[in-house]
Parts: sequence; C-alpha cells; structure tokens
Amino acid sequence: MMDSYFERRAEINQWIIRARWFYTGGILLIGFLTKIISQTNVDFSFLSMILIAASFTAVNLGFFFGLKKIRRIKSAAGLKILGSLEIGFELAAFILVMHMAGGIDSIAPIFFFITIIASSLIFGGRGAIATAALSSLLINLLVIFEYFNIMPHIERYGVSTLQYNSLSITLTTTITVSVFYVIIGIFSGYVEKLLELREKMLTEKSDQLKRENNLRQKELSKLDRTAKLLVRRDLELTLVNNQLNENIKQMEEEKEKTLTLISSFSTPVIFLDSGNILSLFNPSAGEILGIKKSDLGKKIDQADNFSLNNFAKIVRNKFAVKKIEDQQNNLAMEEAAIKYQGEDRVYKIMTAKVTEPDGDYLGTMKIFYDTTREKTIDNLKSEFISIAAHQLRTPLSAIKWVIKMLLDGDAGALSLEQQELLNKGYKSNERIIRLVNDLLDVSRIEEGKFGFEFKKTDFSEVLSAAISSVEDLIKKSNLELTVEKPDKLPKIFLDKERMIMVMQNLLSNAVKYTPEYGKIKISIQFDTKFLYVKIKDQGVGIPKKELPKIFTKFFRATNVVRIQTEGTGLGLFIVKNIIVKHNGTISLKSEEGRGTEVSFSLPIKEIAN
Amino acid sequence: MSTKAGTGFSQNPDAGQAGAEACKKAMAKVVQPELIIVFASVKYDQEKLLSGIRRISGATPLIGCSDAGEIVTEGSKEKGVAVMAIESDKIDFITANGGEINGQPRQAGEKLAQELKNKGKNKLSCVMMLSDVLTGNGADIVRGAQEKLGDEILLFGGAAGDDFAFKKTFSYLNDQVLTSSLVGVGLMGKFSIGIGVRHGWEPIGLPLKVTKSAGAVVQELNNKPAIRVYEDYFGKQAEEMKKEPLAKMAITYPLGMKIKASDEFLIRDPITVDSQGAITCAAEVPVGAEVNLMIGSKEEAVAAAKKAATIAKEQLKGAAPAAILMFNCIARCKLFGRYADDEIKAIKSVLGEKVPLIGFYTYGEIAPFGISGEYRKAYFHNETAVVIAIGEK
Repeated sequence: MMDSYFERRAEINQWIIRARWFYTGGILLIGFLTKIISQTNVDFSFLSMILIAASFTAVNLGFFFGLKKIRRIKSAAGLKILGSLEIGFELAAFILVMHMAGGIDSIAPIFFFITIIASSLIFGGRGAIATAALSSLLINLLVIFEYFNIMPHIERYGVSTLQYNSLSITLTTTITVSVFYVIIGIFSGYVEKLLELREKMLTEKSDQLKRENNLRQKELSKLDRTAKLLVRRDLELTLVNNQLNENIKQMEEEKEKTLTLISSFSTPVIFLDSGNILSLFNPSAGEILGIKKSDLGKKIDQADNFSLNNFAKIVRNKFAVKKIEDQQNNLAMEEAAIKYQGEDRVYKIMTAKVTEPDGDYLGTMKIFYDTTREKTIDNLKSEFISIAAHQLRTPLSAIKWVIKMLLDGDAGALSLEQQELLNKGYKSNERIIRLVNDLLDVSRIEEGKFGFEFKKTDFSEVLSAAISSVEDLIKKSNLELTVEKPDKLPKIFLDKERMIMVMQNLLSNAVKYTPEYGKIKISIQFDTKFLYVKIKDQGVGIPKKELPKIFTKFFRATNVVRIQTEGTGLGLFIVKNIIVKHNGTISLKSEEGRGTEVSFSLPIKEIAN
Repeated sequence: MSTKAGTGFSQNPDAGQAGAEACKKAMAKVVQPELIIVFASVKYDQEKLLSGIRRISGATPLIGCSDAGEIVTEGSKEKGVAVMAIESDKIDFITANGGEINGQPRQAGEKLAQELKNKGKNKLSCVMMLSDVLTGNGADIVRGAQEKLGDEILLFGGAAGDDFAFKKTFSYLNDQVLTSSLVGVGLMGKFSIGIGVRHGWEPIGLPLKVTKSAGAVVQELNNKPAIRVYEDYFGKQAEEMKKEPLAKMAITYPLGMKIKASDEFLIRDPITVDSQGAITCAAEVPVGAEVNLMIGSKEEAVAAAKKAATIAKEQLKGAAPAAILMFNCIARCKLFGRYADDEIKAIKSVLGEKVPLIGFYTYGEIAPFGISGEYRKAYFHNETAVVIAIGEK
C-alpha cells in the first residue's frame, strides 16, 4: 500500500516536472509577445528572458533526474525534499520574472497560481496555503522594496506608472492578489484533499482486491492440489477394487467348482465353519443322514470332538454310534449304524479339521465312508470261523486221546520208531487244538460272548501259574528268568483264568523268540491306582514299521514268520482284548534284534461291569 | 397389431449355437420380425456367429456390431451375444452401409446418410448408426451424417467395441460381417421416440486450456504435453500407464469439456498416449476448449442413468415404451464393476421392468441432447449412458 502511495506521489511530481517544460515555454512566449506586440518590458531584454528560461529549464532537468533517482531508491523523504526544492525554486524564478517584467505592473503575479496548485498537488492543503502565504509575502515585499527604492524598480512601459506613485494603491493591488492566493490555496488544498481521500480509498480498495485475489488464487491452487491427492486415492481404491472384483469372480468360480465336486460325491460330506456352524453338506449327506437345507446355519456342539451324537438335532435318520480307534493317525473316528430307507447301513465317520496351508483354521469336515458291505463280509467270516472251529474241536479231541492211549501203550508196546512218529503226530494235533481254541476265543471276543468272572485275586497266583507252564521250555533253552516284585502285592479284581492266559501268552512269546542262554525279566510294581507288569526279553524283536499292527488279528511279524513256523497271530489280539476288558492298557516297545518289552497295567480298584 | 420386441442372450461357447440360441429366444414372442439387432463379443468367430443367427432369422433385415459387453432385459452381461427382434405395423426399417471408416470418417457418415435418404425418400424420421471409432474420429462421422441428413432427422447409436482390446471392431449388416465399418438403420412411420443422455461425471481440479490439438489428438494442455495432466493427478501410479493402453487406467478419469447444449460436460475418453505425451481421445477436442479431469461415483452414475431414462420417458409423452435401446460406455461398466446391473435396474424401474431392452458397452455414444429445436443435433459422447425408448403414438 505504501508503495502505491509513493508511486502516486512520484507520478504527480513527474507530471508537474513535465508540465514545467510547457509553462516555461509558455511564459517565455508571453514575455516575447508582450515585448514585441505591446512595446512593454522595455528594459527586460530578450537575452535575459532566454537566459532565465534556460536556467529554469536546466534546473528542471535536474529535478527530472533527481526524481528518477528517488523513484529508484523509493525514498519518501527524498520526494519531500525534491518537492520543497521545486516549490522554492519556482517561487524564486517567478519573483525574479515579476521583478524583471515591471513588478506590480506586470501580469507575473498570476504565475504564482501555478506554484500554489503544484504545491497543493505535492504537499496537499497545508502546503498550498503555506505556498500562497509565501507568494503573498514575496510580492508584497518586492513592491515595498521597489517603492522605497531598496531595490530598483524596472519600468514596464518606460514610464513611472500610477501604482508606484502611491504606496496605498500598490499595496491594495498586491494585497488583493495575496487574498486570492490564499483563497486559491485553500480551494486547491481542499480539492487536493478530496482527491487524495478518494485516491486513498481507491488504493486501499484495489490493494484489498489484490490481496483477496491472491488469497483466492492460493486457495484455488490448494484445492487443485487436494483434487489431485483425492484422485490419487480414488485411483488407488479403484485399482484395488478392480483387483478385488477379479478375485471375487475367480473365487466364485472356484467355489462353484468345489461345490459341484462335493455335490457329486456319493460319500456324505458335512462341513462346519470355524464357528461350528453347519455351512455345507452334499446331497448325499442330506439324503442318507436326513439333513435339510433349513439346517444350514445351525450351530453344532463341539463336545466329544464333534461326535455324531452332537449332530442329533439335524441328523433325522435313526443312528447308533460307537468310537473306533485308528492308530495310524490322530483323527477321531466313529462307526455309526444309520437307518436309511429301512435298512441298516454302517459308516466309518472321519472327522478332520480343515486348515489353510498357512495353518488358519477354516472349519471341521465329517466324511462318512460306507462300510456296510465290509462289515457284512466280516461278520460272515467270523461266523464261519466260529462254526468251523466248533466242528473241529470234537474230532481233534478224539484224535488226541487216541494218540495218547497209543503212546501210553494201552494198545500194546510200540517200537521206538512208532513212538517217535506218534509223538510228532501228538504235537501237531496239540498245535491245531491250540489254534482252534484261539480262533474260538477270537470269535467269542468279536461276538461279545467272551465271558469274564472277576474275583479279588492275588496277582502272584497268576504269575506262578504262568511261569510253571513255561518252566520246561525255559530249562530246555537254558534261559535265565528273573522276577522282580514287591513281597506283597495288592489283591485286585480280575478273571484269574483269563489273566493266566495273558501271562502265558506273553511269557511263551518271550521264551519262544529268545535265543539259548538269553535273559527274560518280569518286573511288577504298583501304586495306589494301578498294578504295572513288564515282561522284557532278548528276543528277535519286531520291525519298527510293523509295530502299529502288532495287536491286530492274524498278524505275525515278518522276521518271526521266517524263523518260527508255529504261531497263529492271534495271541496278542486276545491278550489286548482281555486287558482292555479289565480296564487296563497295554503297550509294546521293541528293537529288532535286541528284544521286546511288553508292559500292561491293571487298575487296582474294582472293575466296572 | 402394434410394435413388439423380444430379446435373447447366449453365452454358449460355440459361436454358431450361441447365435442361434439368442436369436431363437428373441424371436419367441415375435410373429413376423422386421428388424434383428445383434450385439456380440469378439471372442466368437464372427462369421459363424452371424450364420448361426441367420439360420433362425432368415432374410429379416439385420444390423449389429461387436461390443465390450452386452445389455439385455435381464441385466449387464459379457462375452456373449444379445439379439433383439422387432416387429411393427407402424415402423418401417431400412438398412444402409457407410463402408469402412479407413481414416475418412466424415465421408463414411455422409455416405451412410445419403444411402438412407435415397431409400427413405422424405419419410425418414430417425437413424441408428453403429460405427467403428478406432480408425476415425467419431465426432466427424456424426457431423458428416447429421449434415447430410439435415437437423430434422434424429441421429443416435454407438461405437462398436472389441472387449477392451482396442484393436479391431466388426459390424453386421444382413448376411455380412464387416470390419472397421459404419452401418445404420433408418426408422420411418408413426411412432414416438425418447432420447435420454446423461453421464453423472463431475469435473475436479482447475480447468486446463487445450493449446495444441489435431482432431482427436490432444497434444498440449496449458502449453505442456497433454499426458502431464494424468501424471499430475495419478502421481506414482502414472508409471503404470506406460505399460498398458492409457484407457485401462484413465477410462474412469476422462476429460470433460463445457458445452452450451447441456448442463453436463461433454466427455472425452483418453484412449492412447504417444511418446511425445499427446493423448488420442475417442473424439475431437478443439484448441481453445477448456477441459477438466472428470471423476465419477457409482451412485452418481446410477442416478445419471435413471435421469436419462426419465428424460426418455418424458419425451414419449405418455406413449408406452415398446422397446428400449441402450448405448452405454464401457467406462461405466468398469466404474461399476460387479454392480453393473444396478444401472440397468435403475433404467428398468423408470421405463418398465418387462419392456424388452437391448444395448451394449460402447467405445462412444451418438445422440442429440434433446428431440426438439436446437438440441436435435447429435453429438459424439463418451462415458455416457444413452437411453432410447421407442413407443407408439
């Protein structure tokens, strides 16, 4: 704002300096004309006129350059000084011209109006009045000086005029002119003030507009920048969104494929999401289990590791379920009999947790394998074995007694050769009887007819009975049997006959597979809850990969099949079933070529059922 | 009898079967079709597709083009074939061929218009044209055709597509498959028509002055390479623009120009950019025009489509719509993503749920801003929804 005010002042000054070129010429012209046309200014020579005008011009030239410099350095004080110099110089020049042109007789007093107006432009109202006063003082002094001859009076018309003959007339004129000076000074000062006020207002307004405009520009460019940022964000979102749409589309296609695949399975499949909510089942599951579309979204209880029993509210077809074990992996397995279209179907149910490759839990899947046919065949097989074994037992017993009688010499003395042959026959027959008995036990176990008679018994009785049955064999093979047990054993509920069978089986295995001069160790311990029995041998051991199958029916380890042709592969199966019936557990550790250790435990407290 | 239409759509992987299926469905409700309209994906062998349609349609006049997505009564589709069959005792149809555009868009427009005028005598009342714009400035085609037809005849239509590949488009005229060409159909008779044109895009940021351009190629904006506008706005992501056609990213941020004929900006799709940074648009952008980057939202776009349908309905002046045609920019489909059906639903909610509708996703739309007075002259639009409702007087 200050800048534009200064500029405006400087411009006025410049305008006055420019005007000065013209009125200098104008005044010079008036001087020439009055001298030529009206024969006045007798003593004011052309030369002095030109000299005065020339020096006036020269000084004005100085002002011109001075102003240029002031404008360059933008000095407000400089501008003021320049203005005062101009006014002072102009007043001096005009009083000189007035003096030369004949004092009060000349028209020179009117020149002072120029200076008064100029000073009003440069300095405003007060400046104009001051200049008017100064001008008045100058002309009055000039006239008085000339009248009293303090300085010479140059006669304009070559003769002394009336004015200079009477001081009162002279002063009347100069005072009248002075009054007009002041009046003009006041007016022009007032006009200038008005102008200046308006100018100030305009300047302020324009400055304000400029500022506002700048502000708007700044705001706009800020908005533009914001717009760009927003577009960037929008673009980013759009791109991500497009990618997302693409992915969703792919996922939907994948899902459709998977659904079609699962739907076409004839094996029933149920899927629960991570919140245990039924989220998927295939048509086969719907039909065989009796699940309806409206069941989707129902929550399933997790208890008992998602046993089928937990699904009772959505599985509408009748079913009965029992746990089965699968040692090969840790999946919970169940076997269910489901009534479907009037017939009983048997399903092996596998329950698996579904996880993403990175381990995120997605839900639980239940797959129902139809084992109805296998089960039927298995039952037929068991039945066949049971019948066959029963039918074999009576003739085998007859054969046994016949050979026994022959060997005892009841039918006459036998030659050594005959005795040997009959002995072989007797032993083979015994083996068959054992196999048939084992088979019968197995089928009884499978049919649930393997009866037990639990009585409070001292396990020492079981132990000695079992040991005495293998004593002969131990001696024969020169084995060393050690028994490590506390003096007193607690009495526990068990079926003595069956438990002797267990110990006999395990001991005969140990004896059978331990080479001559080997060691067998039986150790018995107990705590408040269990009795622990361990039988350790130095036998051939069991190959590691066959260990999981060791308690299954008809299984014989490959290494023993090679060395020992005798053996049914039923012993451990029967042993395990007896131990389990006693609510005990049995396990087996073995290292091929080094020996085997069988451990089982029996609860000391009463046995349920 | 009156005016009746039926539509059919198929995505059968076999071109011939797809064509036949869609045509059969379209003709199911029509006794004696007088015009068959076909819009189809370039994924099909075009000849086999057309012969499949012709097996069913016989010699009925046929017009159509390849597209970047189909629109049928059921909603927005892609990679299929859409067919509409129309029969009417009020409207007569005449077809014409403007030939290959081949860098002479104006001449093609003039040729098409002349042929239609010759065939239609003085009875022609409106023209639908389907054009390629990959080989010529769409605005020039429109100008050539409109000037030859005169301002009295309404001109509308769309620019053929090729599933967003921007390589080559096809058009169908009776038994012929044409490449990079202009085809059209003239409508004559007593019927009423409503045309709604809206887009819903809004300008964003400060306007930029076009300082150098030639037809559809904008070389400089504010004395800087034109592509600078996208670099400025896209920031880091702008790098991606260089790897793919500009349109892929910029299509949802088109340029817009202020025009007198509408309160909405006239949109220009950026398609490609050259090494000097000059942007080729889908139609001309004159020097001196002020352009803005435009931004859209699903909501605004749906509202715009609905407005277009409302305008079309108002112009029918109470007549019941018998068929709806829609020329909808592919950019809108991209903007909507999975929600493209929302727009079609909005249109149907105004013009009637059961009125047969056919349309396609275009590379440009042709339509006047109104049907009366100074607004009758057609413009070439981008990123705009053009809804045409045909009704009976």
